[in-house]
Parts: sequence; structure tokens; C-alpha cells
Amino acid sequence: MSTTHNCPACLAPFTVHSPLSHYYVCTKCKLLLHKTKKDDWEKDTTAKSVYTDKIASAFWIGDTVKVKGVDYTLVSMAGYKGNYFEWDEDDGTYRGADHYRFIEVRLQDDKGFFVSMIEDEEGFAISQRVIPPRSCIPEETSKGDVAFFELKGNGSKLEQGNYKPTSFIGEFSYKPDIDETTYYADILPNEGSKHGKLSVEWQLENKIPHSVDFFEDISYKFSNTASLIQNEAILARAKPLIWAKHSVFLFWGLAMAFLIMAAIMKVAGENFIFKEKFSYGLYDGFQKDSVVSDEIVLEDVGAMYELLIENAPGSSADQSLDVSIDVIDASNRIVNSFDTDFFIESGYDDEGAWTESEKEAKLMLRLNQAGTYRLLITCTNISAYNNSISGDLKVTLNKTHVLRYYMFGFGICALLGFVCLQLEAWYMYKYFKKSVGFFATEYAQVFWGIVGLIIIAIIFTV
Amino acid sequence: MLNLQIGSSIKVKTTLYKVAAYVLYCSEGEYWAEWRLANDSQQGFWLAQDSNGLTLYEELPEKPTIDVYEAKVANLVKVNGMDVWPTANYKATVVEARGDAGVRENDFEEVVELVNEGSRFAIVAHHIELKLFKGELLTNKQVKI
Repeated sequence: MSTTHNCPACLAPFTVHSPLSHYYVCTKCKLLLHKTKKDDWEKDTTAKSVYTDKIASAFWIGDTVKVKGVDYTLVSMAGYKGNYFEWDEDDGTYRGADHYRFIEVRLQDDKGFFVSMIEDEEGFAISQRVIPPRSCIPEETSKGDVAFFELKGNGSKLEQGNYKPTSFIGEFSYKPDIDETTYYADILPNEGSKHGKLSVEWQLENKIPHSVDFFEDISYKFSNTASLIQNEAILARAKPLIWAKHSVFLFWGLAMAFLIMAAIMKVAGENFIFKEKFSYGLYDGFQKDSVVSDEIVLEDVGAMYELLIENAPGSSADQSLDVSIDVIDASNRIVNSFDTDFFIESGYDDEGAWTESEKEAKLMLRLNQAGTYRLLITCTNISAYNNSISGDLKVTLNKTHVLRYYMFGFGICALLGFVCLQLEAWYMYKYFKKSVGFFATEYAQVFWGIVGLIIIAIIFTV
Repeated sequence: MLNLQIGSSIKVKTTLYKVAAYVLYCSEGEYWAEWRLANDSQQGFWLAQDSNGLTLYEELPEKPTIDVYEAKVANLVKVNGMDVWPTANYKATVVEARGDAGVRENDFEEVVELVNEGSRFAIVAHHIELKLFKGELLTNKQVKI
């Protein structure tokens, strides 16, 4: 029963599959046409534009889609955007508004049976009209209140919201109107119902309920697209969508895994450079002593070195020791200096005796050039009440890495992941169908991979 | 739209019918088709198809106890002792009629659709006649043509 015509505006050929269809939105020029009594098609001069946002879908008019073993032809699509408010069971109120988009896809088989499919970022659902159970029929209405259903329905509330069409394409048995708002409430019927989640949808006219319908959606997840669509061309069209959707998470996961692995390898590969033990003895008239370490050869310019100083005091009496370390190059120039204090303090308070001590210090060192270095270590007794202290200082030098650089890397990855998600959402809605563009292709993964490697390289060379 | 010719057979669930008439309706810019189905019983059956699917309407012998104008959408009303909830109230114009349809082109009907627990109803006013129908939503698999 299909008939073929030409758009009176752009002359593009189009096929109408159903005698019920009295409206057609041209797939090329997007103009609304209507059928005349002579079965001709002419431009509908009364309508506003009925295609304001690009419909982003793996499907298109004329595609063949297999649903539950039956071949259907895709005859129309309508894009919608709206707001929804999720029900908070604990607070007993609806949460703040979130935005969403979906596409209604209408299919017809060769015998003239229709199927409606809803496509959103979660995947596909077959939508069918149902007779509601009692728990989903309101007791009464507040007559015109847009929340009239929400007030009285006694099924379990899930969410409510509203949506408006943004674009129509293909053939329709009703006049496309982008100004028509539909209100809805998603409800889980009381126990014992054969239905799952039901959607009650209503429209108002002059703030008075004009029509109400009840629908049930049977979901198909995106990962099962292949089971729903058996047409190779559509699968090929859907592939970059699925590929790129996964590639964001794949890249993010790989980048994080790489950083974690690199961190583990760095920590495991921390290598020992130098260790030396010095004894000190300070007393009245000799409160300061210096010693020079053996030569240390450091070749890795830009690497981080960790200087670990451990103090082993000769007694547990209260004492304070100041240790300054100068790093001296082969020309006896001081290229870096550090200073740290060690102490033992004790006393009594309400809870009895207490002791505090500081016996270990870590200092970080980075060199501008390779060479042979020595450490000039100066110990000074700075105890207030102890003129005689002694002990051992153990100095260890390890090549190491700084954790904060990894933390910085994780932060960059998290930020990048967020940017990826935003871009994914952007292209899924705007650019998937046609003019796919760079971000919606397999090349996106390569792009993000290169960006990630550059960022990681920058992190490791800073 | 279903490819049904007048005189052809159609099986709805387990019952075989003959297609006796075809009517194309329009209301507020929306079009839908109805076929009058006949079988051995004396009752009238109408198979309706709109963009949301198929519904089989069976004419009930009793007359509705309220007029179409009394049923406001989303306001609970009592019809023939049942609590029902109107879901739509509209004027349908006959665009095309073929066979023994009982209506002619440009005739109009006032229609109220109603639901209650597990059932769907319609009250149809045509001229001075008022009819009550019980509706059943059908899946595609329940109809064999």
C-alpha cells in the first residue's frame, strides 16, 4: 500500500507507507506537507517549523528493523526534550529538575501493523499502550493542576515530568506540533499487577486535562542493539556511537591503570644510592660539630632524591639537636641546603608521664646537573637544659618519586574523563546522525589516547 | 495501516471475523481507521487502529447511563453502575466510509473514552443514538490477517 511522491518544495522523492498518514516531513528540506483530498501532497502553510533540532539516532527513515522476529520499516521519527523530577521516597517529595531527550521511532510491517520504539541514551524500549491497573488511576483530580496525577495516584511514584517535541521527520497520522507539551508520571503499580513500570501521559487544553493515556515500556539495553537491529547498515551506523561511548571509559580506565602501574613501578624501583653513619658528641664548650660525607655520584638530572636522616640519641634525656646539611659539588660550592631538628622531651601532666620525640626526617633533593657531590653535615646542640648530648646520625640517599605528582595525574585524568563525558553527550544528541564529525568516530579514541599520552608525558617530565 | 479489504477474513485472538466496513476518522488533525467486523453473533465489533496500536471494541447491549457531555476527562464518573475514568473526549469526523458502516462521509460522532480496572470503554453519540462499547487493547500477535 506504499505510494511514492515528490516533495513539492525540494522535489526529493518520498514514500508513504500508510493510508493513515496525512502528514509528511520531508527528510531533505524538513518542510511539513499534508495530503489533499486528491491524494496529492502540498506544503502545509499553517505550520511552524517542525524540525528545530537534529534527530541523533542510529536509525533513519526507510530503515528495516527486525523486532521480535518481524521485519518493520521505519516510517517516522520524533525528537523530544523535557524535564523530569525523581521521587525521593525518604523525603516524600520530588527532587529538582533534570533534563533529558529521547526519540520516538515508529515502525510498520508489510501487513500494516505498527510498533513504537523509544530511543534514549540508555538504549531502546518498545512502547505499548496498556489498560492501567486500579492503583494507577487517580481517585479524582485537582482540575487543571499539572500535577493532578501526582496528587492522587496510589501506585509507587518513580518520577514525573514533561516533554515537548523538537523535531519530526517522516510520515504521521497526526499533525506534528512542536508546541504541544505532554505531562507524565512514571508509576510502579501495586503488588500483584502484571505490569512493570507504567507511564501515565496527559495533555492539557486551557489548563484542563484533555487526554490521558497509559503506556508500558519494555527496555532493550544498548549492548543488545545487535539483537534488536539485524540490518547491517544500521548496525554499521550505530557502531561508532557504541564504540565512542565505550571508548571514553576505555581511555579513562587505561589512563588510570597506566598511572597506577607507573606509580607501583616507581615505588618498587626506588633505588639505593648512598648510606653513611656519623657519630656526634657535643658538650660544654663544644656545642657544634661538622663532618663531610664520602663522595656521592649522581647522574640522573631532574630525578627526585630522598635524603633520609635518622637520629639515634645516646640517652633518653631531654635534648634538641639541629642538623644542617649542605650539598657540595666537586668545586666545593654549596648547591643546596637543608635544616632539620630532632628532639626528645618529657614531663608530667594530669594523665601522668609523657614523652615526645622526633628522630627521623626526610628531605627531597633535585639536581640541576650530574656530578660528584658530598654532604657537609653540621650538628648543633640546641637543648635548653642539656649541655652534653651524643648519638649516631644515619644518612641514606635514595632515588625516588613524589606521590603528589601522581595525585596531580589522577586529578588530570578525572578532569579529562569529565570533559570526555560532556563531549560524548554533546555529540550523541547533536552530531551522530549526519555530519558525524571527529568526536563521534573511532578516531576519537585515537585522539583521546594521544592527548592522554601527552598529559602523562608532561606529568613525568615536570 | 492494516491491509484489510471488505469481505476478507481476520482472526482476532481465537475468533474469526469477516470485514464488513471500513471508516477513516479524523479528530483535531489526527487520523485513525476502524473496521466493522462481523461474526455469527449479533453483536457489533469494531477494530480500531491508530498510531498507538490496535483496539477491539465490542458493542454492549445496554445503553450508557450518561451522555458524552457529562464525562469530563480525568473526572471519575459512574456509567451503568461502574466507576470509570474518562481519558479522552472528542468529536470524530468521518473522512471516508466503505461497506456497511452505518455512517457516511462528513458525519461526526461525539466520543468519550474511559478506563477502569483492567477495562477500556467508549461512549459514542451519533445523531440521537448513544452506544456503549467495551474495548480491549490488542497486541500485533493477537491479530492474524
